[in-house]
Amino acid sequence: MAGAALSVATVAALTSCVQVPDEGAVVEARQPVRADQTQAPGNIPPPPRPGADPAEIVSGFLDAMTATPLQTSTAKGFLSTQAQTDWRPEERVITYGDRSPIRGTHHVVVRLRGADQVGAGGQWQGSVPSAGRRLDFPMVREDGQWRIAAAPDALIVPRDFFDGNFTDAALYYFDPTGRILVPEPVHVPQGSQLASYLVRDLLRAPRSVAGSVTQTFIPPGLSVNLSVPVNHKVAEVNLKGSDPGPLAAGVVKRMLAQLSWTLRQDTTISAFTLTIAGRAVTDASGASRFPVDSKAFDHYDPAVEVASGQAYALRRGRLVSGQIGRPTPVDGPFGRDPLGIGPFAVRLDGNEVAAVTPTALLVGPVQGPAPASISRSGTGFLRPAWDFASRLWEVQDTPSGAEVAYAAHGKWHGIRMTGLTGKDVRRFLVSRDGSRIVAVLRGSEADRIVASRIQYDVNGRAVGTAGTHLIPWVSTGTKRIRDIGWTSPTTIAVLDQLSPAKAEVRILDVDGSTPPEQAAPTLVSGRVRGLVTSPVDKPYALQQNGLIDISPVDVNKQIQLEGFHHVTYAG
Amino acid sequence: MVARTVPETLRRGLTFWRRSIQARVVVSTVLLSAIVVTAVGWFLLRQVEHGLVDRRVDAVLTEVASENDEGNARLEAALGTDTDAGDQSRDFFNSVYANGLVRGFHVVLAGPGRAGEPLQQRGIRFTSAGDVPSVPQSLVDHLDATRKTAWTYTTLVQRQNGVLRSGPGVVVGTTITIPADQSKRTLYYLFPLDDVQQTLALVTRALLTAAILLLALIAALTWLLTRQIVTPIRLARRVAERLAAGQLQERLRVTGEDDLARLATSFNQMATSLQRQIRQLEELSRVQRRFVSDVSHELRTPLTTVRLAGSVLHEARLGFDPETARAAELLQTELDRFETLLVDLLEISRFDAGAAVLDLDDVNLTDVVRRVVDGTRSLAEQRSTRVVIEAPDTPCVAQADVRRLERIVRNLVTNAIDHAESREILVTVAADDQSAAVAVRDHGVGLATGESAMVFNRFWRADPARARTSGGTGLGLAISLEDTHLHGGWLQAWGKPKEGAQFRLTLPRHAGHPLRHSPLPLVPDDAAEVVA
Repeated sequence: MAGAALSVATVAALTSCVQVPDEGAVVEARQPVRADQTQAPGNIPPPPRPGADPAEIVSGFLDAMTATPLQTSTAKGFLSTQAQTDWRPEERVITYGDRSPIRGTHHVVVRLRGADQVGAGGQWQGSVPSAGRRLDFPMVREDGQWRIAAAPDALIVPRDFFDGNFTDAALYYFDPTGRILVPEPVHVPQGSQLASYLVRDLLRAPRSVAGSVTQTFIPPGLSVNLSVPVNHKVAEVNLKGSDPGPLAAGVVKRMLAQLSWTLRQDTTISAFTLTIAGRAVTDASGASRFPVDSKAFDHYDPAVEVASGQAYALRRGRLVSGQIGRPTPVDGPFGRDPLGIGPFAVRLDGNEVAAVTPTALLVGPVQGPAPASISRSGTGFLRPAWDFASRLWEVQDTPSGAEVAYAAHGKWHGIRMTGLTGKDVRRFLVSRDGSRIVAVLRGSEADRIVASRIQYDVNGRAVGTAGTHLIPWVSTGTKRIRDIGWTSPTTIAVLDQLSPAKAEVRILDVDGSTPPEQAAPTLVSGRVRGLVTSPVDKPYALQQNGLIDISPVDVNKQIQLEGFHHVTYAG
Repeated sequence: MVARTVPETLRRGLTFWRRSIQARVVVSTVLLSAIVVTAVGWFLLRQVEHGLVDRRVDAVLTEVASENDEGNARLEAALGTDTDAGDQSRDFFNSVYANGLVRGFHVVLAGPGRAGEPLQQRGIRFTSAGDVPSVPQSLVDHLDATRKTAWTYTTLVQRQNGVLRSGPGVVVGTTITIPADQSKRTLYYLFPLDDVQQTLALVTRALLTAAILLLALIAALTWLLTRQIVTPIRLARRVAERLAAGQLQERLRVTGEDDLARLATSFNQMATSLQRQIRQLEELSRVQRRFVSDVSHELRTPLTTVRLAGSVLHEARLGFDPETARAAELLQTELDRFETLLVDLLEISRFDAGAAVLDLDDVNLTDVVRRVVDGTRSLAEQRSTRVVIEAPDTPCVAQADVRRLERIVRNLVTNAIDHAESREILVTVAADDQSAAVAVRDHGVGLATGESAMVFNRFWRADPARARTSGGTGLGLAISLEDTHLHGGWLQAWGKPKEGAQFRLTLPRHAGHPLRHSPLPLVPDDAAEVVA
């Protein structure tokens, strides 16, 4: 027994020597080299050169802001200690085409030419006012070196840098009724920071100009927790701020739809996770990882996913429909008899037609025995437009100028639109989401394109317009716009008949950010009657003997279609 | 009481250890098994510990690599136009902190510092209060020097349920760059190894339990096996002891057909054979002794008659012619010797028959020696030798049969006179509390090697050609030895050729008490001096 006890004690003593280590040498970890995920060329500008004069400092400061990936720490090195604290480059982005020579010692001045600006939320704000094109840089000496004592609160970069390193994107909000997504164009840095900027800007409240144009379902008071990293094509949207508490399923669904539609523009993202104030958000199914191309949010598509993909036209005064190039007669009132209609618009679901006659605006079904009816009598009606809510928009040219009205549930409502009402409107478009109206105004020397946001109340009743602005357009031909049409929810195609033998089509951003001289035109030979476009379908130019494909893929591909007029898509 | 009990217990234990093969085998087996089990257990534990720790460290490094990737992606994705490094640092820490809460690690984010500067002086964010002391300064210095991700073991101090507890852990340090100002920060991930420790403790307990059970099993098995082997041996020992004690009818019980059964059978056959031979020898001896006794008794009657006739002739020898007178004297002398021989033979027969009994009395050995020396003085003078007595002034008293004692001493003295070759004989008497002794030293021819054990054999002669001059029968020393044994004493001889011999008689002073030593040395001092 003594032996056994002794042996047990020995075993216990020896085993006590076997313990988890709690100290040891420092060992370097072997970690795989992390591949650079960004393929774009990088640029790290040099810091201030010792002994540099004020002009060199300002020049270096402007160059340092062109760092890629985008960062401002190098640029801050050119500022004085106080200026480093005060400088807010995130306030806006100023782009310029050219700049004056840099001169001055204690006060350096730089003048910008062709300067435009982008707001803090990435929205295009157009040209910089003339006063803002002069940049003043008071200089100060610190530790024997010249430094900038105060710099404009902006990231100031050349236009070519902006075009190469910023990308056009859209933030997706909802219309005031919460039924459809409304894109808001923004310009944000591309690359690894794209998702972070998109989410950051999405979290900002919709611009005041669109205060009743859009709404967001993302709870207020949240901000991005440092960034939105993308790991293995999954974006981690981590929002900090006050905990909003449990959210209704409808709110969560729409919030996820906003993020999904916004983040799918970053091609490196296939899905995302969402955390709000440390709590993971799940959808109704309990999932916490959301594919950005989820079909669950397609019915919020601002291009109206369920819209008819058919093309419609008039042949011998009768309505026909079908695939492009293969139209067949319809058996509705406009297909059975020639009612003397001209321009027309088909409701997005493809079931109803609004057509203009010289004396009235007729409405009738596309198919079926029901007759057409006069919805509105009068003259000077322009080609009408339908939006997702089956609102029928019409602009009537009257002696006092254009009058804008829309019909909802068979009842017409007049609405005064700043920039359109009373003007000489020759053509107008209403976006399928109903948030935008774009019109061609006849000018004495040249036509102009204006865009306005349509404001609604929560019941979907249009209450006015806001944010009317010009979409820059420069003609090299007749200066008259023959036609316009949507090519996406945020871009339009503009048709200009340069000469009897040649026409051009330019694609312009609806926010006016496309420099007119840089909008690459698509040239079409011959005389073009109009455009056949929609936000989702292939665009064509309508000629007398057929259609010319003006999409970048099959440009100038011709489809024979003689004897057809007013070819159009639904909407 | 205790002091007395412990040595007693120890003595009993040692006695048990010496006498019990079973105990020795069991303890030895258990000890050896314990050593092996300990070595194997220690090796296994080391392997398990290394395996667990290495796997945990690998998992930690993988997780940190993943965290680093996520963190770097997070920093790379940070808004390039943000200028608030503090805000970015805080947001970054919060995201890693949140991950740590889910994934079970703590984190410390420290600002840039100089080499050797403690973390506390750099501006730090941490998960809990114990995190910062848990980061070894060696790791901090390493990151300051190399900026490379590194790890080490540490003692984590963490608060659990409001109590600060320390335990082993792994801390991994890495460097990050805050985009807003491109400043370097050091980030430390602290992973506890509690789960590894708990697993190791569980394995240790399991191994300890298994070891204890295994040792108990080994002890039981060994005890059982040895018992199966030792029990027959023990029975055989007992039977052998009984056989040795004369119980020749004792036999082993034979069960089964295994080796032990065959051993028992062989043992029994051997015992039977020995019993038969011993009985034959006993019978022969008994017949021989009976024969000698009978012959001796039968010879006494004719010898008496012959002696009476011889005495008549001897007394009338003066009237005979010289040759006849000489023959009558020789007849008388040989009749004396014959009578003495018969007496000795009868005495030996009594010893052999176990009929000899003691008539004890307190006897002063010195007196006995003096009487014997006086009685043999004439013989000594005949041999031109002198017998000297060396005795203490105090009496050397012992309980003895004075007749037998005198016979022993007389035999020794006479024997010494026979072999003294005219040299002086020293008779020494001594006594102590336990025993009394008489030593007779002569300086005659001495004894050759091995003869000291043979001198007590019956009719033994060192030199068969040498005549018995003292009239001895050759049975004197044998009778003396039997007398001595009857007293419970010792009779021993020492001798060397040319150096004489010494016979020592040692008796217990009290009859029946065991003898442990003799007050006189067996080897005389002068012999020892010679040897020296």
